Amino acid sequence: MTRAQKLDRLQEIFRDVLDQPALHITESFSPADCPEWDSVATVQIVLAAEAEFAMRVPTATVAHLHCVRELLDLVP
Amino acid sequence: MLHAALTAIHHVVPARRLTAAELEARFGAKSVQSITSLSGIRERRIVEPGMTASDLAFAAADRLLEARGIPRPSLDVLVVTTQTGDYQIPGTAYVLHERLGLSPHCAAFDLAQGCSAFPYSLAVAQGLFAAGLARRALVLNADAVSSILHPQDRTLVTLHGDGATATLLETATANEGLLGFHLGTDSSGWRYLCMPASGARQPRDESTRREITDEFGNVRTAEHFQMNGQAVFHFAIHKIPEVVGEALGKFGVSLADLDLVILHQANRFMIQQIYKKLGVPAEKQFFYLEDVGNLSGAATPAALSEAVRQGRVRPGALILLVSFGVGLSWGIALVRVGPHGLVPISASTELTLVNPNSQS
Repeated sequence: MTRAQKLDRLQEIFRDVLDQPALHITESFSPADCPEWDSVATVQIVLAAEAEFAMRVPTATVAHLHCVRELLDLVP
Repeated sequence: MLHAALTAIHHVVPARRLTAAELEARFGAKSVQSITSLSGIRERRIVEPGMTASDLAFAAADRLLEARGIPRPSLDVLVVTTQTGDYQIPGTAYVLHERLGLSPHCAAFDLAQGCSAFPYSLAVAQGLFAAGLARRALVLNADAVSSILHPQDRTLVTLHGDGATATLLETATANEGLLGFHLGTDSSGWRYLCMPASGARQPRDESTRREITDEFGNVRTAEHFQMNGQAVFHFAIHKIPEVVGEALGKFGVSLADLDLVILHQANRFMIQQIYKKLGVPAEKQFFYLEDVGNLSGAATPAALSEAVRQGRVRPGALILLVSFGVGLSWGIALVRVGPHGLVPISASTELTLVNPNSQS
């Protein structure tokens, strides 16, 4: 899977969790770009990504997750 | 070797309610609704000025002892867990020992434990029974976390309530009571639940009173209790099912053997996720947070107390108590209710501030 394909799948997760069907995300997309992206949403996004990509994100990474890129880098 | 059984339990929350409407006025409706839809917490009970966690603990203990007709000189041990004690020195156990009128031969001490307090305090008390140091003990779990939160910290204010529980432990036969414990720590996460300027490491000064707003809009200072919610949530969702599995293996019981699995009442979504991962059926689940909030160290025992009040705990029931939080820590206790069951304490579960020196 290419990085762009991974980003597309992450985008679906962000659209679903943030309840914004037309949302377009980039690697630098962060909570500052979206008021709905709060700490609760972060957890939901991470859990959904873990299920989608069959991966486990370290809790230390979740603690300081500031943008899409940090999550994308972990996708296998 | 003496063995402890849980023979009575009671909980108390403040009468004061912090409603969703009040929070929506403070943080905005959309923001609050986003959190409450997942947390499942509609109202929180919080102390009013002048009321402390030890007031709640006193009320819970006094009502339990009166209702059960327990002679106060018969208590050998008083264990108090709180992170919001009356003083840094001395421990709150001494304040409550005097206020409850306990005898000089009754040992009293605090355990500084957060949300995982209940299993830890039961384990310590069980150890005192086994050592021959106790035949009757009172365990008090109390927290008033609302008093150490910044009022603009949306993440914590919307979740936390205040409360206290009193649990009576008495000698029992070996096949009932406190049957097993599983305790553990992931100290790599201690910073995720922390009140930085609260002790010797970071003395309070002008800089610790400076307000900081995080990326999600939560306001706090170093003198307030802080939580990295996403980290704690992630830890709980993954770690707790894992250690519950370990505990069941260690105890030699399966989910099918259990009548009730009571989890720390952090928030409904988290509890549901853990139940789902464990495969706990609905009839073995229990929730007690919607009208009171997350009661921190009192949350798990208050849920047990409420389950007793609702008739969910039958005589002989096998119950798994699972608590987790500050540390990051977890504690799991396996409890067999005695053949006579746990009879609800008929006293009120509310406390209204009248006079700090005359509450009961």
